[in-house]
Amino acid sequence: MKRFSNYLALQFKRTAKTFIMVLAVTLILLTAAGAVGITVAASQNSGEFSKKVTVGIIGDDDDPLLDLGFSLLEQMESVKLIIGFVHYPDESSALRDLRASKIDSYALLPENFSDSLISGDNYSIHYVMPKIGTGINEVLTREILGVISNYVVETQAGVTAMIDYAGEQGLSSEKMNVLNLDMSLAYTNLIARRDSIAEITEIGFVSSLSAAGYFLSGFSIFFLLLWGVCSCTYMASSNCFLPKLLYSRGYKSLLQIICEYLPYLAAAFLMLIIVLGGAAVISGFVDFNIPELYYLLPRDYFIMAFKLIPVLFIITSFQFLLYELASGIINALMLQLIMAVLLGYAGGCFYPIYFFPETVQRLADFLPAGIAFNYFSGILTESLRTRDVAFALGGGVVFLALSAAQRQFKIKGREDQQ
Amino acid sequence: MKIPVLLYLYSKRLYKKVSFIVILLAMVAVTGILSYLMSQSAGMITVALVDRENSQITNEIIRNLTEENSVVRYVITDSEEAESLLSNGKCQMIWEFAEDFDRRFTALARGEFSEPSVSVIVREQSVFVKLGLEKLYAYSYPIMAKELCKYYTLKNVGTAGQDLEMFFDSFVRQGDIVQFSYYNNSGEPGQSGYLVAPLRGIIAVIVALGSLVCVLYFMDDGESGHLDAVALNRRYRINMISDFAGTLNIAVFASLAIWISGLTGNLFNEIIVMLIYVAASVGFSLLIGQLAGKTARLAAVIPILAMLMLAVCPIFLNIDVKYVSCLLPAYWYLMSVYNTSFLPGMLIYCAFVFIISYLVSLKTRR
Repeated sequence: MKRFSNYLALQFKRTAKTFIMVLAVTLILLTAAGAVGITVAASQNSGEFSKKVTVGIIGDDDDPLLDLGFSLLEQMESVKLIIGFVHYPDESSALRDLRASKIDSYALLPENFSDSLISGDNYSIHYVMPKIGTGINEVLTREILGVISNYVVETQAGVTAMIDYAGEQGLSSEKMNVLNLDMSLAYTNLIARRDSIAEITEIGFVSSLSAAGYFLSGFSIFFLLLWGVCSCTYMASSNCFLPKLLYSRGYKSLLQIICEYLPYLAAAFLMLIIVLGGAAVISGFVDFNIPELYYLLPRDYFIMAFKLIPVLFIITSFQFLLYELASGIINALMLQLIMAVLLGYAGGCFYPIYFFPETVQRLADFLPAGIAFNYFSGILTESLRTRDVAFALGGGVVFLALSAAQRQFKIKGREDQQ
Repeated sequence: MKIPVLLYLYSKRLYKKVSFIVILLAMVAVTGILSYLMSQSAGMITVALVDRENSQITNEIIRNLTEENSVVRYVITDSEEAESLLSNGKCQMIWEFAEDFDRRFTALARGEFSEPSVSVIVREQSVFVKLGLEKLYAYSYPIMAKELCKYYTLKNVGTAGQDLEMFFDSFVRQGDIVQFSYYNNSGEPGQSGYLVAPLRGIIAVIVALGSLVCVLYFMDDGESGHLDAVALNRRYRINMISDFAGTLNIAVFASLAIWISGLTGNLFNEIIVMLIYVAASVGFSLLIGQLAGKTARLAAVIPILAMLMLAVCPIFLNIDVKYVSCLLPAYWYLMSVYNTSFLPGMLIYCAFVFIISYLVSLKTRR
């Protein structure tokens, strides 16, 4: 017991020495992350994961049918949110703006396009976009254009069928022209009031996160994952002479691990209290615009810090294991960064987890980032499940046990050659 | 010593640590596994479908919806299960088809007053919810269009026999009236890659961060006295070579990870862009290293840069902060790899960061 308390006190002292520096780094990181978060939120569709796509339109500006079509499109709620139209006189100016990233894509309407729609020939619109890494906007645009295409084609089917049938029934061509126009208007009217089919009820956030809450959770977990990097200067060890020496003096691997880990967890907890304390103060002046935080009083932020201990436990014990696995600063940092980014992605820190295939969603439930995310969202929505607590605590214990095993392995002389 | 010898020696130093190889192989393996898993069927929103009517029309709408390859996923279930799915976040919307759906739906198609035939329950409005609703309208539309056609013809032509339905069904639907293409890439525009595509960006960020870590390693050597024998005026060059050796080795594994993910395009283009990216990352890391001055400060900057690169480079989001993103090497890599017209810009960026970092090194040396 005395060995334990001696070594623990020593480790606390060591951590305390570097804590101010780690805290300063954390605050800088948080400020930078906050700035990035605000920039991202400002550029997106009210805290969502897509931004409005600006589409250049090259076509006959004087065509009244096209004008009608575009005004119909601009009234569609989803189109309004996803696509904005800009008209261009020719393709070269649209291409120039596309290259300069002033627009996201352009649609080239062929000559006599509206005539082709009326006759049912359907000349294709040439939709040109740049290939870039992010595909969400592209996918959304394609979906919306698919929907529009569907309206056009089915309307044509209806009008053409009526005309063919009327012709079969011996109606005069003048009468058919009148019916054609009248029926097209009936279809336009049907499209315009298509939303009458559904009655929408918004129930709010019973026990799941809002989009803004999701952003906050993902951002917080990724921040915690990256926080491990800030501690690299005192966590990364390049050799195991000291653990070997301590072992020879009777300090077993598990005891070493516990004594080294507890100050690390304490530093993380202190950092969390300071950060949430700051958030509590700021919340008095600034509205975070996150539904999950609406009714939180300043003292609730402090209570939240205590509730989040299992999240800290699983993340920090995982980081501790990574430091234990990698020898030397370069390996330790690389491992921390690779794991933070890749596991953060798989755990749903960057995209909502429901974007992912079922298998990934199930897998995420067992990854440190996913477990921490579930627990954190449970706290925010006050729907914490026993399973989340058990996974967070159990995961932390497993990582510490693995750290102890790795320490034992290293002490026995199988560490990397220097 | 000649540059190739130094490159060899620094690489050898890295590879002497087994964990260095293991970490990079782990990166390749995790990326491979993720890309495999992420390429499976996925969606941006899940809708629980509850069919209380169970008629021919509702069955047709549901069949049309579920058969389509879309970013909207559907789960056919009952009211109770749907509510549970919605409340625990497993689905984002419930569409409940009313018991007298057919009557309401037909009335609506005919332009008559009708109560809504689908009850939609959402937690909050969002772009994806709106997109989902558009799908519902769009897939109800063919049936509505047919109904309107029959009703209108009966009203205005006086009859609407079997032939009308045949004309409607036999109309040659030419598919999408929109043809997609890329202006900067000959590849076929795909739909399923939006979850795999970010892996390239993640890997690019890891390469840039790896380069920063290599500079940190060099600085750590300097602070621990390992470089005392090296003259101050030669340290910048040695630092550059050691960083280049480390980054190049990381880039080899990164390229392997990209290849395993199935994201590799034109091989020649990939190699050239990656090589320039390695140089750009080295220049950038040297500059940041020179500005940070100390290991602890550089270690502090790395997570900030990681977050910045992931946020402002076109990886997950494509936000308009070009003036910030063009300062980061990952931005140039991601733009150039898809669009070679960005290569001159990337080369200028490369030259710029090297010149500035060298000038800063001259200043700090004094």
